[in-house]
Amino acid sequence: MSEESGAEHEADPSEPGILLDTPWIVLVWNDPINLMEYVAWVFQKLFGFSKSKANRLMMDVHEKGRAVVSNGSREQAEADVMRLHEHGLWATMQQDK
Amino acid sequence: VRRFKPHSGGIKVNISDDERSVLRQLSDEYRELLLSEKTDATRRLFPTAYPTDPAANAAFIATSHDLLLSKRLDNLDVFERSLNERHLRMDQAEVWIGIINDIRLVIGTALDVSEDNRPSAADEADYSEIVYEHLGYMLGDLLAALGT
Repeated sequence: MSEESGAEHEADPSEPGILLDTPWIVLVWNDPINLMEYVAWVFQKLFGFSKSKANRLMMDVHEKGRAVVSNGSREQAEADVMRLHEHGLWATMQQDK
Repeated sequence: VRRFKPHSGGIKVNISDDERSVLRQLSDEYRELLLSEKTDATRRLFPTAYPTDPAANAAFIATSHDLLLSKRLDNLDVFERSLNERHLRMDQAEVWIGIINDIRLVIGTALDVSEDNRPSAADEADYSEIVYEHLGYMLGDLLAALGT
């Protein structure tokens, strides 16, 4: 989505942030303590990912040092970070610039 | 012998009384740490959400810390109440996974585990290294029994 694309569409001031709000991404970082199978299990449990997607993301975390596991509004991202922290994963969030 | 097996829609627990008493002792110590001011010992359980924005992180901690703490304490209650069970429901088994992982994170933090410093249960290992390794095997068995 591009901010310039709405030339013929007047932005509704009662819905701020829909076009301008840059989405947030949730990152899970590699850590030397959590077991690989545990990380994959948490991804399946929290996000409903298939086993193969959860394993792929887990391998990204393990080999590349981090992986993006979700994205959305700041509130959604904070909720996901909290659930990941609850499960002992090292998760952070940032704007997807 | 596998310590955990799928059984009747739940998990059959095949751990020794010694293992159960070690788990009970660990959960007592873990509860004490959670309720203490020793935040360095439990720092791995309350990570930073915004690593480059201290103000946003402080606001995040203000809303998340107590919630996370009470969830962990609730899980400890479930764990301790089911510690003598020979059969766990799936929801109890998931709590076991969470608590064993939490305790492993605390021990791993104290042992300063890193990619280059991994404890082993070798002859010269100290007690906490042996416990750390053992919890890893238990967690692996439990996850395998859940079919992950």
